[in-house]
Amino acid sequence: MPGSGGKDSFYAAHLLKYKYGMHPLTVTWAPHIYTQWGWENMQAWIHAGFDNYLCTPNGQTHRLLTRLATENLFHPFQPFILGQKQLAPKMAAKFGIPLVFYGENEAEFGNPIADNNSALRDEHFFAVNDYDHIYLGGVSLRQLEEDYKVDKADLAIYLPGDTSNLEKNHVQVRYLGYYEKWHPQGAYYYSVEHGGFRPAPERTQGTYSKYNSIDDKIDDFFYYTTYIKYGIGRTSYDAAQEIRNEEITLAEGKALCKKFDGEYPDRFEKEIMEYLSIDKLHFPHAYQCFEQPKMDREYFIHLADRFRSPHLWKFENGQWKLRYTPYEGDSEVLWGSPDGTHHEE
Amino acid sequence: MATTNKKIRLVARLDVKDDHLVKGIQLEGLRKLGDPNGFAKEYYEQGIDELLYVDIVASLYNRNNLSGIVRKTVEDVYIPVCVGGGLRSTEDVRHILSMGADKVAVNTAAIKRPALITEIANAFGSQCMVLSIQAKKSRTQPGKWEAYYDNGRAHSGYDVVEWAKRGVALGAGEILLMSVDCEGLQRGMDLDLIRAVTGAVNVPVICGGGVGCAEDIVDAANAGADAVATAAVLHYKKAAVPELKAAIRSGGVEVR
Repeated sequence: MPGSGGKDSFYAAHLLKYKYGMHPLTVTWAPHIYTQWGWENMQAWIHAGFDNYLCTPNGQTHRLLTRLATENLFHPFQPFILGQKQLAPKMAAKFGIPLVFYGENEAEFGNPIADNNSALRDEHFFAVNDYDHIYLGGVSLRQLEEDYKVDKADLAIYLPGDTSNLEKNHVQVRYLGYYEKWHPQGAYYYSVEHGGFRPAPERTQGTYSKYNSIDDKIDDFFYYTTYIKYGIGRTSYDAAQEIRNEEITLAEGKALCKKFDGEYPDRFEKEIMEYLSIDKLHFPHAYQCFEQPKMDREYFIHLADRFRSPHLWKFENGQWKLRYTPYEGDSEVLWGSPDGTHHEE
Repeated sequence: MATTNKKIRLVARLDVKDDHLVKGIQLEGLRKLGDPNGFAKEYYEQGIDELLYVDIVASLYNRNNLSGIVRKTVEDVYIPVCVGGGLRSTEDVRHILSMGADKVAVNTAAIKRPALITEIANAFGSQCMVLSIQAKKSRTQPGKWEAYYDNGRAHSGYDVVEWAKRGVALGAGEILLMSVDCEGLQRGMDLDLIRAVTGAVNVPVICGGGVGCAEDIVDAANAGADAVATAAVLHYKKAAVPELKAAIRSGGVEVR
């Protein structure tokens, strides 16, 4: 059972163990940089009664791949997601565990809805035989090895399990959300009651909530990139889900989007910019492959501008604005401009 | 058993969003529980001393719309009613008082413009001006608390004890002190917080956040609380007002 120790994985693991009498082994793919409260929740999860393997990828390789994914795809989460998706099936194959349970289907978070028709995860997600056509962060494995001088061994952790290995062990990957009603707010109450889950001590920049994906300091930037690329920021995702669950009204959701969607995240900015910077000392070869190895706000915004689609964005009176929004009038966070971030008086 | 010679008040806190009574944990994951008027009437009939209505997300949405609910409640509830949530000016306060509220609780607007406390106190009297404080333990300064606003989401940077003292100096006649850390958990109150604030100000302090049973209320009273606000225990029907009051008395604390 893969999970982070957030409210959803807490709920899922606890149900499997205590309602269905299974013996889940939990595996966690570490965040880039844990928030303090994320680490505390992860510990609380394990102490609520689970064995856990925490897999933390090589920090140097992970930084480089995350930087490349930001640079080439404006998707700082891509290497994380690859590792996360592949970890559980690989661990299952290693230990001869025939059943892997994920929590909710990604369709709930914006993937194609057709995904919901099956409880089985498409094995193309996690098993490929052809290593020659794999790209990480928009760069082929060959190039990563030859130009960036990344050791092949350091990339193995991102690569899918062998199909034959999975078949041999009869590993099946399923979603708990197919069998149990999935209600994030319900999972919150469950995880507080049955364990020590606690929300973050502050609002996550870019949205109004403080209990959804709160364990990784890079999360804020991931959602910022979706706002730039798709015009949908974290408030849109959170509000849409809560409107569907009738926890907030459409009018409230619109007001929240106007107030927070796309807010430029500056609370962990310094740390994340350092994380995404490729320094000469640690990356003597990769360093030479970047036009600007150092990541800073100016360069990040320059990258953002490269990923704005003209059918979504227009440049008006010296400012980028979305052409379509769910609300009337101007964004209160200035459409993601760093000048628009809400700060204390 | 420690005893106090004061009589504490038992306050029912009703957080309201649109037309729904709501309740969260640490002010997150707000659940809809039903019609607030029904709950208010029931608590009144059971003998609660005071009602506290808070439009909990008013500031988050820049609105205030409790007047309808308040007007309906005071038709058949004859105990003090305190109303908070999204009040930003003396005009807002005048309006909600004209609907039947006896006093108002102000948090966000007071943090953004502390002079509002004095304006309200001058216009309607200090007894009417309740400074509402959402207190959360500081992660950086042990033994300190920070005041939050926007439904426990935004940092003010204010030290809770200092802010309470300043609020009283500016004209607040009462403090409504809520522990964000304990809120909704029903596992006891932040007694250090209650001691720190009640020891620092000379006005009544209504303490809230964490009540799970009558013993928690007794502990709060012994720590200095003048009134205790409770929500989850009543809303989820874990206890009714008469049995709570009886248990508080047998715990050695006088209650109205």
